[in-house]
Amino acid sequence: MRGNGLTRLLKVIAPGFIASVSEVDACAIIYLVFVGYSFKYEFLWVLAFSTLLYVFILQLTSEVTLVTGKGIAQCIRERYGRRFITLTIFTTISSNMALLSIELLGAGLSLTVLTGLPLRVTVLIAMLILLGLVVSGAMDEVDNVLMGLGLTLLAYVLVAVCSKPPIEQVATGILKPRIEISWNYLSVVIAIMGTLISPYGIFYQSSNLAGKKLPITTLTLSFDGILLGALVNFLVCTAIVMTGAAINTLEVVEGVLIVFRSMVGEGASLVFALGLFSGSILTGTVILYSTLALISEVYEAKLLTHSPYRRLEALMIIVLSVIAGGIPALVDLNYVRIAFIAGLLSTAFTVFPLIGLARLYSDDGVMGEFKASTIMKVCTWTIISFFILLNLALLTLSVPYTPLLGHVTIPIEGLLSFVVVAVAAYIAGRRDVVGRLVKAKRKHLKHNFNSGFAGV
Amino acid sequence: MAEIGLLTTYLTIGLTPILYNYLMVKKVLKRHKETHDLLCRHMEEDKKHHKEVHVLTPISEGRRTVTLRVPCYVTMLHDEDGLKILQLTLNHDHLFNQWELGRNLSLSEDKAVRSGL
Repeated sequence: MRGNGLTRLLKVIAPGFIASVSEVDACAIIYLVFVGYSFKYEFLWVLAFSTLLYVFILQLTSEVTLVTGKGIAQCIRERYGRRFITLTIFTTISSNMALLSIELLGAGLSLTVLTGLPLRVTVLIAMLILLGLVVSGAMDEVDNVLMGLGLTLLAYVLVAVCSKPPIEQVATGILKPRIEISWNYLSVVIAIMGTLISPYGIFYQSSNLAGKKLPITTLTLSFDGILLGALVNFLVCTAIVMTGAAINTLEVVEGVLIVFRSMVGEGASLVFALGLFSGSILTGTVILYSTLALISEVYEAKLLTHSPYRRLEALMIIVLSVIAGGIPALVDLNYVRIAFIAGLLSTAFTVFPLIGLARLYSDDGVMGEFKASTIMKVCTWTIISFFILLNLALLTLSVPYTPLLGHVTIPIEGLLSFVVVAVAAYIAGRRDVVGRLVKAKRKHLKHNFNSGFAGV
Repeated sequence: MAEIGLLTTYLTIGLTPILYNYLMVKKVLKRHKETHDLLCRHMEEDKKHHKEVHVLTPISEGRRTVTLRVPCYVTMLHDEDGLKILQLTLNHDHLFNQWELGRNLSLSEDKAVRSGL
């Protein structure tokens, strides 16, 4: 590794830190304000539990990546074949696009709060900012910007602390779990977990670590980065719930702005907008990077290298992704609705990468000297099974339109898009559509190359 | 009582895998470092006691075998017809960095097995 001590340290801890912090996105902010508004501090234990589970998942990711020296997607493809990874790639990209929509809306919303421009215009501006940030350079250079953006979210913590929350109630909410067997209660638990655990973080962290070619000796440092990011994530999310608990209106933005104004006066709009904008742009960048990394690793496209030809391909994917994510945001400006659809897809589609990750981690042939003990294997598969059960429960809950938080129902479009994407992913996985297309393109290029030489 | 049970379960499920994994990784990394240091020490010793063996020049009658550490073991027999390699031993118990092998070969080894190599 090149650079001085601090640069090297940042290089190692950045992937885990960013992957952890990126979960505090527009989706989480909007949803957690609702949770705070509706249930006060009752669900803080779910927040803590989800954060711990996510830390564990990211630990496994960095372990597999640093041991093999390759990204998770590449390892899955090499070890278990293209069919398995095709399912993962389709589902992950679908959830990435849905989440990108809410991130663009979140960034647009923050710009609207600051400038007063119409939301459609600010969403377009947000699309351009995101494009500029991603295209401007390799992630190594953007790492520090992203870490800085992540830290701006701490503004929420400051506001929450200034609001003098009831410490005893908050501590009880975090430490005292309460399980209630009711659809409404379980749906809130599931949605919080889904908001805080998404597939893009796994692929982002893995690809970023593999790209830096870090030695295995940096594994514990990488764990420290994850823990640090998770701590920031937990603090910010708890602060958002506290802010939600203090508002008196269902209108998220207006309500939060009132609370912020009472704490920081006229600077309220700036503090709120900065946090929302940072969270949205940070997650948007991570989502785009993880999409590129996933395609790159699965189809050996090397999209993240500096070769101009490959960069052009990467640029096309980025532009298409931003447009695909931007269209729902521009058509439907109801951010709560889009946050729910994105959360729904994200929760359901975390299952596929998790199964791949757990298979790799339990595979002694892959892990070599770092092979998992039986206890760790049992722990890992228990957590994966828990997630699958969680998703089955989510599907069951969403069918009868159970109102979430007592007043928001999952829209039919969310359910339909879930079914369509799942069926498409299944068919594509069975037939390996993209793999065949790539093969056909390579064959065509080879043919052209040979015929060119024949002409010479 | 039920609340204490629930709290214990919540902390156990949430914290134990993280801490256990962290400690296990630290242990393996420590072992890895020790192996690496040992290998370096042996390499240095080998460098110190390095003696060039000219395999093409005749070796005295009394000494029939020569062992070289590279760090694998190559046992050679010298007879009247010339030099014959008898055995190549890869002793990875303490000398060879097994993890480095695993990192580089684990996936390709599997491919090789599948393709019958």
